[in-house]
Amino acid sequence: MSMAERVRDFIIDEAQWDRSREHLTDDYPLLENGLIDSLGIFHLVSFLESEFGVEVQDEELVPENFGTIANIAQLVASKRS
Amino acid sequence: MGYLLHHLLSSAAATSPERPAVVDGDRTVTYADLEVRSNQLAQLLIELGVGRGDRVGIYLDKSFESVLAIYGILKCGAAYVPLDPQAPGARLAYMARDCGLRILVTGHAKRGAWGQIAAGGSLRHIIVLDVTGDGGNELTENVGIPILTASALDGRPVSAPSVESIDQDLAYILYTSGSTGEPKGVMLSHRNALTFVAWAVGRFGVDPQDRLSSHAPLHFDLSVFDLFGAAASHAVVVLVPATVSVFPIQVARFIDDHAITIWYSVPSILSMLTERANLGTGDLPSLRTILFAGEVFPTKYLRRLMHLLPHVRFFNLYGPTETNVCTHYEVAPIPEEQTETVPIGRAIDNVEVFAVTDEGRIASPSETGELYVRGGTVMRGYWGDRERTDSRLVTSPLGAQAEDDVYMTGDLVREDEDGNYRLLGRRDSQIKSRGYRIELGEIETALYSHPAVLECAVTAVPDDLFTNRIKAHVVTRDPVSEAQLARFCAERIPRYMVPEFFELRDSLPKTSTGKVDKVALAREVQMRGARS
Repeated sequence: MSMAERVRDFIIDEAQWDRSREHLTDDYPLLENGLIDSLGIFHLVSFLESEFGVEVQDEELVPENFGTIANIAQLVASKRS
Repeated sequence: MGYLLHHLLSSAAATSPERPAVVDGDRTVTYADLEVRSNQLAQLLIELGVGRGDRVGIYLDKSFESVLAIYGILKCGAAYVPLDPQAPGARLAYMARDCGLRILVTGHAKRGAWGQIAAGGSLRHIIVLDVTGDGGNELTENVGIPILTASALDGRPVSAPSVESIDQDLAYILYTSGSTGEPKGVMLSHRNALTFVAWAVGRFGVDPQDRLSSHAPLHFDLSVFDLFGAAASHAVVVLVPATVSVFPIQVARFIDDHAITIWYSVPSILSMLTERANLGTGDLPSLRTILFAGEVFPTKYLRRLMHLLPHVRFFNLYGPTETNVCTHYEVAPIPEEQTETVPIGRAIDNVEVFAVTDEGRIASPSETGELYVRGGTVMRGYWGDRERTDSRLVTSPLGAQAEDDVYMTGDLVREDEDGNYRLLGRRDSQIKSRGYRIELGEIETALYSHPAVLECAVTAVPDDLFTNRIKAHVVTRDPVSEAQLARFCAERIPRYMVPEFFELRDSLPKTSTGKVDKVALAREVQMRGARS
C-alpha cells in the first residue's frame, strides 16, 4: 500500500470519516474541514513517526505540511530521502 | 457599564465609533459598524417575530458574523444559543428541539445540518449571514422553512430597537455534557455575565489599547470574557482561526503578528505552546497577561512557560459553566521541585465561595469539602429541567444571613493557609479533557444504544498534555470492530467525547454489589497503559 493510502486509512479511522473513501482525495483540505484538530495532530505525528520511521520537528508542524494527504505524504517522502 | 450585555457595545460605539471592535482574518470591523449592523439584525429578528425571552441559535464557525449574531440577538431581548459547529447533526437537533429555537443564524458552510436541525419543528426561519442576495432560496426546498441572507438586513432601521429588558433576563444558554446521556442547557442572564466582566476588566486593567485573543469557541464560556471584556474596555478582540490552534508555532506567530496583549485559553494549548513552539526566553513581547481556565494546568509546563515569558502575568480562572468564573489566582513563581498544581484561589468580586463537608457543615480551613458558590455569576438554572436545577441550586447552608440559592459545584476543595482554595477532585464521574467537560455516563449511554453492546464502562486515562484521554471497555454480543464503535459514537456525541481507545472484552470486573468495578478498571489501565 502506498504511503498516501496508509495516511488515508489512518485519517479515516482517526477522524471517523463518515463518507466514502473516494471522497477523501489527496487534495481534500484536512484543516479547514476539521479532520485534524489540536489533539489529532499529535496522534498523526506519532503515527507518522512509528509507521515510517521519521522524526517530525517542531518547525515542520505547519499547515503547509499537514493541509492535505498529499502534503503529508510529501513531507514524509522528503524526510526519508 | 450599563446593565445589559449589549449596552457595552452601544457605549463603545458612542464614544469610540472608529476604534476596531473585531479582527477576523483580513477583515477589521469598527464599533460603529458592529453597532449599526447588529441593530439591523435585531430589527429583522423582531420583524420575524422574535421577542423577549425567545431563543435564537448560532450555528457558525467563529467569525465576524457570529459576533454580529450575538449582539443582534441580545438587542431584541432574546437569548443566544451557540451550537458547537463540529457537533453531529443528531446532537444539534436535540439542542434545537430542547430549547425551542425559533431562528437559526448560520453560515453557508454549515448547510449540511440545517435540515436535521429544522426537523425538530420549532424553527421558523434560517438566516445565512455570510451569503448575500437571494442565494438562500435554492436551498429552501431541501429544508422546508424560509431561508434569508445577509441582504435581508439591508434597509432595516439602523437604530437599536426599543425592548424592555432587565438584567435578570436570559442572555445565553450553553449546552454542556449531561450525565443522563443528553446535553443540558445552562441558562445565564445578563447579570451573570456582567458580574464577571465588570470584575475581570478591573482586575486585569483592560484598556482601549489592549488586543484580546478569542481562542475558545462561542459555546465555551471562556468566550464571554474575550467578547464582552473587549467591548467593555473599547479594546479589540482578534478571532483565532480554528486551524491556527492545531499548530503550536502558528499560535506563537499569531500572537506576534496580531500583537496580542491578553491571551485566554484552556491550558492544553498553552502546554503545546510551551513544548513545541520553539519559544525562546522573552519571546512574544506584546503579551502582558495570560489567563487560563477549564482544566488543571500541569505544573511542569506552567513553570516552564513562566520562565520563557517573564514579562507576562499568569492567572488561573476557575468556575463551572453554571457559575461563569467564580474564583481566580495570580500564579506566584513556582519552585523547581513543586509538582502540586496551582490553587484556584479566592472568590471574585460580588461572589462568595465556601466548602461544605460530607456532614453538611461549613468546612474549616484545611478540611476537605464540596465547593459551593453564591452570588451574581450563579446561573438561573438548567433549561426545561426543574428537577436537575433543584438538585444543584440549593438553599444556602449559611443560614438566616443568606437564604438565596447557592450552586453546588461537585468539586472537592480545601482552603490553604493563605486563604486560597485548592482543587482536589470530583464527587462524580465528570472529567475534563482539553478543557471540555465530559460526563462519562453520557458516553456510556451512547455506546449502550448500539445493538451489539451488552455492557460497557468508560474510564479516563490521565494524560499530561490533555488532562485525560478516554477509554471504553466494551462487551459485545456480536463481533464489532473498534472503528465501527468509534464511528457509531461520532454520530451521537461530539468528537472530543468519542473514546480514543476501545477494549473489547468478554466481561467487565464487578463489585460485590454487582456494579461495574470502575476502580478495578482504572487500576488495570494504570498498570497496562491505555492502549492494551
